Amino acid sequence: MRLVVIGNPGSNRVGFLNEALQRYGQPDAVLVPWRELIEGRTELSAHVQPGDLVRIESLGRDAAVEAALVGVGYVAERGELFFPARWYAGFCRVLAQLAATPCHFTSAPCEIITLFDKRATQQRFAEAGLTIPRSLGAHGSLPELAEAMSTLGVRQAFVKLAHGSSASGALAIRTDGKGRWKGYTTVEQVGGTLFNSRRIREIESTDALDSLLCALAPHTLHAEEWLPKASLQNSAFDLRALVIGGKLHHVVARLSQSPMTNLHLLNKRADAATVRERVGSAAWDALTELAERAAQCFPKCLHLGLDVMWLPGFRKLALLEAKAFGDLLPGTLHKGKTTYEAQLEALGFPC
Amino acid sequence: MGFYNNLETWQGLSVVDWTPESGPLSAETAYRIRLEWEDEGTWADRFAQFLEQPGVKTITTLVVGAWGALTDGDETLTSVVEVLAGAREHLPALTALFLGDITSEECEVSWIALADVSPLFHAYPKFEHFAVRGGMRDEVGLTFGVLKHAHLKSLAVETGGLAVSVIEEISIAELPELEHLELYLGTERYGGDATPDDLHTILTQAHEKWPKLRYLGLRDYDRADELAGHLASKSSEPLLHHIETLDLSLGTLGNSGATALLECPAITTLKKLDIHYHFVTEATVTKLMTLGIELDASDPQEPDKDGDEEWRYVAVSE
Repeated sequence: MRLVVIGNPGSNRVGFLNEALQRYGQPDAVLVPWRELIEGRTELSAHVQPGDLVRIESLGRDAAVEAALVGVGYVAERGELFFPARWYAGFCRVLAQLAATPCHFTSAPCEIITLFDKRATQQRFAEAGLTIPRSLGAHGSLPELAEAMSTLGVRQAFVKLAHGSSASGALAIRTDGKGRWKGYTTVEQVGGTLFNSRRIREIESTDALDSLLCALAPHTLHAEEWLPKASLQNSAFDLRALVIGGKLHHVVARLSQSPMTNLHLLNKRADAATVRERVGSAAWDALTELAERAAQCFPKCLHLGLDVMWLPGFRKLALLEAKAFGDLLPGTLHKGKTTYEAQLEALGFPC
Repeated sequence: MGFYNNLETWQGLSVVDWTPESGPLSAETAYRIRLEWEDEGTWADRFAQFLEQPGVKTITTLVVGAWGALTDGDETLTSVVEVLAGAREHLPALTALFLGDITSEECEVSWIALADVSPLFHAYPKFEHFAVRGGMRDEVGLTFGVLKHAHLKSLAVETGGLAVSVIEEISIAELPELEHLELYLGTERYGGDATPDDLHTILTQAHEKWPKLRYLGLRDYDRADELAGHLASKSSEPLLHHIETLDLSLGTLGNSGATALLECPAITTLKKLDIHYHFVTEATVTKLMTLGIELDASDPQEPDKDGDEEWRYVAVSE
């Protein structure tokens, strides 16, 4: 069985995949560069032979690839929040072309399209009866958001980009119900341009919060209840839980002293054993069940990266997000295997 | 930044959330009563169920977690205090109470509306340990009233900013058994309007008022350097001779405050000095280590720089 990977040449993801293949005595995957596909310089069908498996990798942070997808003809500055809605439109177009290629994908393009829309993903989970934060809709001003929160009786909310990833464009916002507001965000506003930052900025001015919501609004937003996370090692935490072939595999706790737990924000981690010891076996079983049920909502995905959290007390679990490319967890092993090795095994390697 | 952990132990006991599914009560456990996400009913309903459990009369230690709408609304801390005080006959063994085990994920600490807690001290004459966490920014703030209590050994007030009015109440409190006094002084921005002068009574008379005092924590203070200056003065010398532990942690202590402490001979009569989370330079920390007393100078901080200006933030500074 030959593996074809659509990815960026030289990227760490393609490197990890090939390392895993080598460990199973397999040749490197056949690489089809994203940029060439997006720019129409090649087609997937030109690279695929009967019996091949095609793996779609993340587009990563390659500025030229992003520019090609968005089609605006200029390259974004580092960290610039880059037309995520148009990026998504371009991504859908390319994935639709891939889907028309007669071949077997490890994760189907149509599932990836859904997973890059937080609203559609949460909708699918809601229909399956899984516990998710209540949705507040999309609101481009503080008064509108305040009204939506008040209607649901919610005091704190997360505003996210519907098509964003890695805390891009994220705002955690709360009110005391008496006119005071407080926001935590990764977004910096420089003139008319929005940038993502690794620093969490705190905002208390309602004018500044309103202005930020207005600036984010054109990028397609999704707001939902901000559920309080349980704590571990003097931090709030959530989990990245990776399901492969329908079974829960790798779990990493992401610890944070801010509302954002994303690992690239230099937050600390804790391993699965530490979490399991803290929460107990009943809570762990509940996690396993929730993660595996979530994966059943995306049956055409070999792997699914889930962001899951316990509420304080570890008796209630909620599903926060699902990621099509949520398997980049270097250094995290499950039964001695990396995320890439575990996936190859689920595919039947070595063969 | 704020409080991130729910209590796992308190006063030597494991803290366990009580739910109707918890099973038989154990006198060796500290039970936390809290409302969780999407729970039906009120905190008072949950507490009433707890009181019906066999063995509740043996419970010594209770922790009050999130009680619903924490910032305002019908179920405020005032009603929680009322319900707790009214339960005195069900809880004859209660000696320790923590009000407000609430993390920064659940609420901004400075937004947690506090209340008049004096009914609790009247209802529970056997109290030995009392702690409360919450905010000072609201009209209805924390008050202890006239605090007189025959058995209280430890008192802790955790806030983003402690009001002078509370410091005044505590300064004149009659607590003959008090061993441990822990105050988060915070910042003016969050209602902490106390200057070191407002602490004068505590700094000069605590040892006489509370002869059993062993631990004094003046923590999370944005005027920690000034405070250290006051502590190093002649008038605080008897206090330093008297107590074992001085805790100035979580605040903005820098070199000037640390140097004042270094130059104060009475400091060496302490058993322990805790300044963890501080802005003192390594060289000065090294000098503090030569004092010959136990020192916790962990978690050094760097000031935020904005041009020529430097900003130091206390640990609970949200």
